[in-house]
Amino acid sequence: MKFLSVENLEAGYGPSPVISGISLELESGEFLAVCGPNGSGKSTLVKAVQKLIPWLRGKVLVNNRNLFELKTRQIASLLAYVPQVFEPVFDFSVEETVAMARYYRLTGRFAGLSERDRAAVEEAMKLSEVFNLRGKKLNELSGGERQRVLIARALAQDTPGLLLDEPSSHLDLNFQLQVYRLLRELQKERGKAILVAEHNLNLAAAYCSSLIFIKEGKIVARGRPENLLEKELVRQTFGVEVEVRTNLSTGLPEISLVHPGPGSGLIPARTPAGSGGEKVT
Amino acid sequence: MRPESRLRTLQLGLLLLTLLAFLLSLKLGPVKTSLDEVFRALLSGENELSDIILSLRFPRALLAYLVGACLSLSGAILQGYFRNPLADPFILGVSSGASLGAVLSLQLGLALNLAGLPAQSLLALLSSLLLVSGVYLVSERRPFQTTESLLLTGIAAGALASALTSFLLFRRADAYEQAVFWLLGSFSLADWRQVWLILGTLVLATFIAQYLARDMNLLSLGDETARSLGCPVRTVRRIFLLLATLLASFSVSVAGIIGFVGLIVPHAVRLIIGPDHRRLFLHSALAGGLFLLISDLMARTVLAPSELPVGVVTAAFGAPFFIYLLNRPRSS
Repeated sequence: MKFLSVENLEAGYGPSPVISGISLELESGEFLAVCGPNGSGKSTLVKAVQKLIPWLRGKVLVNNRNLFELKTRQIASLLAYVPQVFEPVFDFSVEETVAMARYYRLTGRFAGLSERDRAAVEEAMKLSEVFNLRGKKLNELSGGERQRVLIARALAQDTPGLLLDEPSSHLDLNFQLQVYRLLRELQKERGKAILVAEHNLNLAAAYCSSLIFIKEGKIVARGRPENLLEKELVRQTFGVEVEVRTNLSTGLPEISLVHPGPGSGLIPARTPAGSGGEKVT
Repeated sequence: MRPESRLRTLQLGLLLLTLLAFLLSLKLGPVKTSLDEVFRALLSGENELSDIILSLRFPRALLAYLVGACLSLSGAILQGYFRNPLADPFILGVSSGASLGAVLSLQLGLALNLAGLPAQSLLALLSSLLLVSGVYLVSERRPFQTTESLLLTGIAAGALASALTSFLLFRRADAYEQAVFWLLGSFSLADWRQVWLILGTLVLATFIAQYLARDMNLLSLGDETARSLGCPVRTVRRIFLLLATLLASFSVSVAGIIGFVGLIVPHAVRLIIGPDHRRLFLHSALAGGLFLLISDLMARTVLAPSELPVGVVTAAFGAPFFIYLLNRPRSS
């Protein structure tokens, strides 16, 4: 079932758009990664789908409803968003932070959480393994722990769609895998539609059902990971030379950087002292 | 201590201290009264001292309490609004706007009185509201208004208003003493009409703030996050800014500029019961009331028979605490 459809989307923060001409579709139960170099607009794309960008044009349908006509609360019932980790200003506890995901569902203005809300909060904390931290303040956590709290909050929102902005950026290798494994499970077991901005191509290729390459605000390629992880395409999109190999245990393609030898030309070579150049007299 | 028991302790402490402070405020003064006479005046209103107690000390104590509650609630709102625990009710120029209005009216020699407010109070109210509205309109001309632009515009506008105030005082030095007295803050002119005015403002604002407290929790995480969790950021921000400005402006109009209440009280309450605005708003208001009630009691008794400006007392408490907060290690 089609969950999200984006047509000819333009988005940005000022007069000139960061991304333009973006069209894509996302099915329920699909796990799509937007990959691109820094500044290519992948985060902007993910945010635009949640209407978090001030300047938007085009068409976005979520569950066949026009995003631009939906109330903030209605959007929050369809899509949950995991931002990049930030420094918290106030000392909310982990549990309080995750419980904020349920606010949009509370009917009475002065009502507390229902049993169902509590159960959802608890399950979300367990899924992203922050249940043991629930009484701690956000300020006491490491970047990786905070990242998992933000993921727990998005899970507690209990939406058919999940948007994530570089979820692996603050995580060590172990938790990168855990987060992506969790996302894949949510995709497969619960049929969630997941859209993630990710710069780690190997991670995206190993877990996502399809990839989009984005460069300078435009989509340059879309397809299954095995079709997209291709030497020439990666070079064109990211501007780096890579080798593509098949991971022996997963059978999926993997890239590795081709490291140029010394003398990359980034820093002009210095003339050794005493061998010509300016003469000191 | 567990968070719940900290909340209970705070509530109990506030209740007992507030009762005590009110009793002392009614008892102490230039005319000696006994507790017995205070109770009799409150209950029956029939004795020779009831006039002093009921129409001088009681409205004054109530007004100090209510203004403290208003300033503290205003500060709690703005600290959440700007995601900055060092924000205070005057950060957008309410105080500078009010000073300008008050000095202007003293210079013009206006003589009118509306709902218990003399001319300088009315002009102070009006000019502070005008100044903040101007600041808001100027900084709003962006698709997603940033709190930074609002803050900086507020500082600039405040500086301009202060410059004008200084110019006016410079031109007519005879109004100086009167202006300074007003600017430093005092409850010596309290009457019942002012009490009702501030009580109305406070009750209404507390209700609305409490109604939207959940959204303030979301806002304090950042606009983007708040929006993604279902908070209509723009509308909520407008309402909170209006509330905070009205609370501060009305307070200043009846009591002058009393610093530090709106800065340290919400901050201290947050340290005790945590940042959840559903509790913070109400308890900040209650604690702010108590703080200013005690401050005013001290202002009029410490150097009796002469009276200190209440702003001096709050600053004497507030400034050291503020410095302590600034130097506190970041993580708890």
